[in-house]
Amino acid sequence: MSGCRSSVETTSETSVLFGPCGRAPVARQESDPGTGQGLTHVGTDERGVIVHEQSLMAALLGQVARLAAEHRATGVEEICVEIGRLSGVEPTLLELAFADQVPRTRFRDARLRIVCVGLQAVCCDCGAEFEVEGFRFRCTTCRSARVRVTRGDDFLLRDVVIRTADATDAEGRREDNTEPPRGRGESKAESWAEEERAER
Amino acid sequence: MNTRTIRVDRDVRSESRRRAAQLRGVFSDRGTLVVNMLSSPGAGKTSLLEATARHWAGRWRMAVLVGDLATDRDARRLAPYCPVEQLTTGGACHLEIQLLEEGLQRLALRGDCDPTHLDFLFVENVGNLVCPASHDLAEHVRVVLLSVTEGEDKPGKYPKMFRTSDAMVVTKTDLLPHVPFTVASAAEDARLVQPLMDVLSVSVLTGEGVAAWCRWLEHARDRMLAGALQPQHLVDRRPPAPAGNGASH
Repeated sequence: MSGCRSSVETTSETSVLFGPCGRAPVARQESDPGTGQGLTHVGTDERGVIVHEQSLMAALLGQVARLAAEHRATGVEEICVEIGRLSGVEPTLLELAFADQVPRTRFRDARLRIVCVGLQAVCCDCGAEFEVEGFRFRCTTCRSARVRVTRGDDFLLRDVVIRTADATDAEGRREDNTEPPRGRGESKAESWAEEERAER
Repeated sequence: MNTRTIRVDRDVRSESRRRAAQLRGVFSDRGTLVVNMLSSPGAGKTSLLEATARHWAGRWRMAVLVGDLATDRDARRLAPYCPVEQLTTGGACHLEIQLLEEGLQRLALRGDCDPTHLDFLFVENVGNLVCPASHDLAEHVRVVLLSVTEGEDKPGKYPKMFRTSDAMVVTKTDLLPHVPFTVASAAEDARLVQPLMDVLSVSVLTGEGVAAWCRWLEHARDRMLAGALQPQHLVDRRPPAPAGNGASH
């Protein structure tokens, strides 16, 4: 399938995340990712898998659509997300959900970049910061049970690389000179914003 | 054409978490303890709720929102004991906050239940030890059930679920003589991921442990009323990003 590009990076230790909920009855999410309303209706799918990554992806793509409209984007290049080891999100399934849903958005050529991060915690008693290994949530210095995770619980939308037609709006790099006529780009951005409003 | 990077750094679940937090506040003000009940399929969530309702016998006002992939079987079992509304996920593996909100609206439309005057609201989640752990359903306490036939090694295998739970209830303890399972080993495994975990054990067949479980719930509600309850599923969550961030709506 063309246009569905994604990559996974792992920072700190190699990530072995939690498994998915597995195979559930044949179904698939049909809610429009553009609304960001998450799971509202479920239909059937030949792949026969429905996992919560599908509804998280719908929420993610909804947020990206709103951002793109807000910033009068003419397209989306890249969506970068961070998956913590305790986030309960499985990168492989997130990639599948992306490939499934992104063709139904207005930025079907966007890339998904997934950065996996390890699990870090801080001790509420002695203040020591440590890497949580083997999901053992005890302070490695004082053995206290009162520890709080500082990194690794999140499923973050880190950033979105958008394409814009307006030169004065640009902060990022200039990509190439195949610039569309200004009016066209703007009207596309506006029509996105209108569709967003109509969907609410 | 220009490209531009918009920095967001916000959890994708921020909006549903915000709604959940708001709802939790509303229930706290009304004196309603919201309990999210989680387990693998068949561990005994519905049976424990039946036993709870029988034990209290109307002493506390309770209602149940029960999640199910497709059927209303659990809802029908609970209906003789207390007001219950079914949340059908249509095949999805977990409940989300908007389904809960819809269920509450349906509860409010019934003649026999005023959801603004409840002591306990139970949410019986879809049987699954993975996905439901990542979704805030406005609960004050999260309870994970582990039946003795599932094996005492499960807490370490499903760390997110056990890490975010306030209590683990070992169920079907009447079967203990027949299975290689000890409550102490399961508790030890659970406390590796959640060292402050309360551990209870019940058999709804013999009734053993049901009274203690009900006292635990009453005590949790007292702590909630006193503002002394810190939900375990919120402990590891980073504080919400300041307003005005790119994706805020």
